[in-house]
Amino acid sequence: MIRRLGEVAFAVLAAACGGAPQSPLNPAGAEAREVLTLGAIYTALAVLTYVLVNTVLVLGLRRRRRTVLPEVPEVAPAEEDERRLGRKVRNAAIVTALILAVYVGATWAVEAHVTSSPSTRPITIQVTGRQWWWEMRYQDSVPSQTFITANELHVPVGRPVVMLLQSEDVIHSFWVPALNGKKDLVPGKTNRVVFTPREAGTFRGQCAEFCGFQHAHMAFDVVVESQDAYDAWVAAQRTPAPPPDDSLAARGQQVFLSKACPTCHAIQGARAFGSRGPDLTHVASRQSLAAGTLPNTRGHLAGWIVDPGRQKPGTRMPPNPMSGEELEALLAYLEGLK
Amino acid sequence: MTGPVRHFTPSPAAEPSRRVYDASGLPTVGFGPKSIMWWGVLGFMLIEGTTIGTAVGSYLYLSGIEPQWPPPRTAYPGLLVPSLKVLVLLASVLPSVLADKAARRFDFRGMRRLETIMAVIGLVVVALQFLELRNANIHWDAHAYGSAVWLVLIAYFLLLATDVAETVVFAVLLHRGPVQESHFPDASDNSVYWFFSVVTGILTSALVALVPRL
Amino acid sequence: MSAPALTQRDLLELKRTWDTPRGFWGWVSSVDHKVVAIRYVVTAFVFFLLAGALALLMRIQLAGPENHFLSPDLYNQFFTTHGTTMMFLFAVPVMEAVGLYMVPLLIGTRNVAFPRLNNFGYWVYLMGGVLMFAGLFSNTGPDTGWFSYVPLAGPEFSPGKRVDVWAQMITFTEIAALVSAVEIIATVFKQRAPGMTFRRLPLFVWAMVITSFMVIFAMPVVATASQMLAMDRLIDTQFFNPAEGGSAILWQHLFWFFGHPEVYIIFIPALGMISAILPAMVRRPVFGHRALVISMIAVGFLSFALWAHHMFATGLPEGANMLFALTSGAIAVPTGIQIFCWIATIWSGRPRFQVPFLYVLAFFFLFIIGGMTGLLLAAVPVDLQVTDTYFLPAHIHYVLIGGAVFPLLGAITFWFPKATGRLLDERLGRWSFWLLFIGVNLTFFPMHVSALLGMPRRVYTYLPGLGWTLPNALSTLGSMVIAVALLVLLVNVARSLAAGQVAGDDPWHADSLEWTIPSPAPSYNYAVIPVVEGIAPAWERSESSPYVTGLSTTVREVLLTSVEDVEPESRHEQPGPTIWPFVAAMATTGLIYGLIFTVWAVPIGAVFVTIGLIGWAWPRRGHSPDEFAEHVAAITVEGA
Repeated sequence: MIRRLGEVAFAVLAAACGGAPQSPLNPAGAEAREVLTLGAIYTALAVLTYVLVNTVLVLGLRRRRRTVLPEVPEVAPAEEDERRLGRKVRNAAIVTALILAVYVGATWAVEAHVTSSPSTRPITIQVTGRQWWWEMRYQDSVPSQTFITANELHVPVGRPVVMLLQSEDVIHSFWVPALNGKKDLVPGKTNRVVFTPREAGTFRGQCAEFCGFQHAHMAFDVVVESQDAYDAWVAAQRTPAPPPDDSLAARGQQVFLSKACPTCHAIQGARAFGSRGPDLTHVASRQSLAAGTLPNTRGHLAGWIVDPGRQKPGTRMPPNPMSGEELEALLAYLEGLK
Repeated sequence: MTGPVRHFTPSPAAEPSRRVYDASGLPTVGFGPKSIMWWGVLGFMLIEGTTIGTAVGSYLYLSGIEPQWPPPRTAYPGLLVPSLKVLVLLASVLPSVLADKAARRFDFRGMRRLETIMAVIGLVVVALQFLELRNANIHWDAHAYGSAVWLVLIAYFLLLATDVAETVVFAVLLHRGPVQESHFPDASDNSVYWFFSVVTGILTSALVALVPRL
Repeated sequence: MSAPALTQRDLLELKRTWDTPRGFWGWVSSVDHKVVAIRYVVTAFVFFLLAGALALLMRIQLAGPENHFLSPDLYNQFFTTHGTTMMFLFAVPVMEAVGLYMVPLLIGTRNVAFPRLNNFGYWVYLMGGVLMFAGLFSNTGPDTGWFSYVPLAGPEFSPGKRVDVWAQMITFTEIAALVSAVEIIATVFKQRAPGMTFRRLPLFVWAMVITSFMVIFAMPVVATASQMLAMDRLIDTQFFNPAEGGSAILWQHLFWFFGHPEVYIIFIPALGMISAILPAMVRRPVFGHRALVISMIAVGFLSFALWAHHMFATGLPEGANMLFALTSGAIAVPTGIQIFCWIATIWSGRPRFQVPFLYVLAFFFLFIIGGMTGLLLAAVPVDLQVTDTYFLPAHIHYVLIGGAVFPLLGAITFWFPKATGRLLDERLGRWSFWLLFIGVNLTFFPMHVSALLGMPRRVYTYLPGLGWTLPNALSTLGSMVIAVALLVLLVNVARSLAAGQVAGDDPWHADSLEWTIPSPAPSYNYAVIPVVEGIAPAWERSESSPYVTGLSTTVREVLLTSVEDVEPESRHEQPGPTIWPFVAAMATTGLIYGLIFTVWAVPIGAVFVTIGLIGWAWPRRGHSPDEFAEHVAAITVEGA
């Protein structure tokens, strides 16, 4: 019954939100759904309590308004009246305590459930937060099958995902509202959050712990897709970048390797091994740039490369002034890194 | 001036229908909780106690999250200096109690003598505290362990230093003047605060010296 | 309330003994608790307005997506300064200040227990605030949030002196708060008028006593923690450096162990203010005095057991999360009991809708929203979706503005006549009340919406297309309304000070002791100390009520009473005005300012502080030691 009510509630909410990509009211995962149900019930209870208490207050205010108000105070109110009031207050307190006991019990139950270890074999992804981007490392029992990407996650529908959360610098927080609650990335320890996507779609996550200048621009995309699409994506990610297929792209690779880029960025298959910035092996396959800040289009990519500080003042990526010819070539190369 | 204590009694006033209590005969000096300064000292002890508690709590938290405490290849704090300090602290309880008793008897000369002794003892403990820091065999920037040791010892040192400074100034005052009747309860409060210093001194030295060895 | 036992000459003498000396230095050296408290209140409101101005600027930046009104650096300094100022430089000090003003008046004594210490506390507070804003205006404003998490606030990721400014500002405000706490405890325990047992103690005084104990157990924790942070930055200690055995989580534990009681330190005095205002406004004593006292004590205790609900996302063991969810939910019970008792009071009373009562009513409509969102935040899995989003600013502003600022404004309206002799204008009062009520709702309610659409907090801008633009625009509009409301309030205060309606002793026909003395209160408060025989002394007293005489009119004497039975016990002579607390405060300021730059500030500064304290404590009068020894030996004393 409650489950049914909950389903109705978030169907309504989901409709109202019109597919908001970063909203806990639009759950696409099992855990987020459960939490929303609980949250909806609590909200309803909260509204009820508020209305009830304030209605009593207003009724009390209106009680003797019509009579003339003498100045003489009732220094010692009648004992019987006080006792009656006392019983009402006591009963209200008892009801409050009982409701709270149920509330705590429900909280414990849901919390235990959403933090329980996954029953089927999960996908394990290690996320390392840095100012101000996300490194995602897909684990595999075979070490050579591990691969690294940045600022975008792909996961298959229906399979639990375990995120192992670490930080290289300050505290960040990993949060994909459509899938589950947030968990901090704390330097010096590894935290863990589990989610089980139930619906396909693209959802947005954002850092939720103030981490410096560009905390506001530290987001990421989560693509939930069918198992087949996911497998295809994984296969593609595991493949190193092919050599550039035309002369412009080749010139672009030359530009990439001769400028400051390999200091921070890696491209598997080219001779670039930097690890201070996102891995660019499959950058053209991503939906956004600069940790969810910019759409991944040619114009935005160009602007980002040449002057990252314009979009994201304070970013660690330095400006890269270059001639128009160099930029054209570089863009052609990067666009080939699918 | 200190007068005999009288319980207040209603005295017949100009308007006999009205009860008027005459406070003019009340004493102007009280000891322990009857002295307003005692409450200030109580507040100060609670504050300092919380500060030391925070330092100790942080030390224990950090020791709990480390696999090895102190970290490998770290020398333990020396035992000699803290042991000496604890002995001196324990021995100091007697003159402190005697100072309190002298004050409550309004024995000015006795109180002055004992406060002077307390001042000297205090300076000795301060010197020992300096030595204890050096004998901790660790620098404050060497690992969280070193920082925690220094935190606990410095937190106590600040408490101790204010107490000893106050006692020294008090002793000087008692020799030079001007002195007042309120200095009797002041000596008594000083004794209470010293007791607090003794207890926290022993606890903090024990923590620093013994926890690594457990 | 006539005092037949004192002649006109006596009263003049009393006035001369207790008045603050004229002139600037007289004012600086005043030990009158009312003079010091007014100073505190005015200064706190200046900080309130400064922090509010910063908020307005932030709201302009957030009015639309991808705005360039404020750079991220400025925005980060602004949100940090706003939060830090509101919490440390406004909310706690203003509550303490109202306590320092009203507590002696409510319990029938002439001054706080340690008059010079009170004076000292104010200057220390002021210099802490000056430091904060000097930092902001010199581009050295702290920028890591009002709770300054490490490692972001540590030496590696926050170079420069910004965080050091923050850490040492904490030291100043901590000292001032602790001073106030000790004052209130000592004063209430030892200086109550005879007959004012704890059962008869006004609820606001209870609230201040409970708050004072909380301050004593919470403030030193943050002061120690902030010095640990300062030392990590200054001399390379490793408390919060995970690479060297330190812990970033330790900072959070330390900060929130203080931080949660901190908000109750702000909230509990406001609860007391509601109880102080209600009787006059509804013509009966507050219902359930005992239940309210026990509830406030329960809230005080419990507030120390909730702190980790700020840390649900940090990966604490699940058992810890569950425990803190339980305690966080549990605190709703004593809070609820108080609300029920007040509603019972209003229900069985005869309300008068004057401005102080309006502010009290607003509490129910605003605070309860915050209380309910608080319960959502206490539920761990729900919290993990809403914490660190705009749900948090929504929650804290509803509970702090609804739960503390509104009762505070009610209390200020209520006690303004006692302090100044004039009433605030009712009509302007209603205008500022309604504007504020509307403005607060318009500003903070939409934040729930943007939060549930995924907007994290502390972001200097946001992308379009996420649905956050409309709620943000509404919030910005609301903040303008708040600004207008505060402007109207300021105009009201200014006009009423100059030419407001003269109040007389007891304009509200209220129940507590302070309304039995003239308005404004004379420097000595009570010409004769009343003897209290009930819970509503102003309503119960008559021409034949008992009182105490015999205190000196030429020397500053207060009556000390026994703790349990509240019988007169002794007379205590208080010091008069002196410049030494100011000197000591300046020396302390130098030490702490120096500590921003070097640890040597401690030993060097300590020398000057010691000089200041010796000047303060050295007796002005007395006997030579030998003469004294003879004199004393000649007297036998009983029962010392």
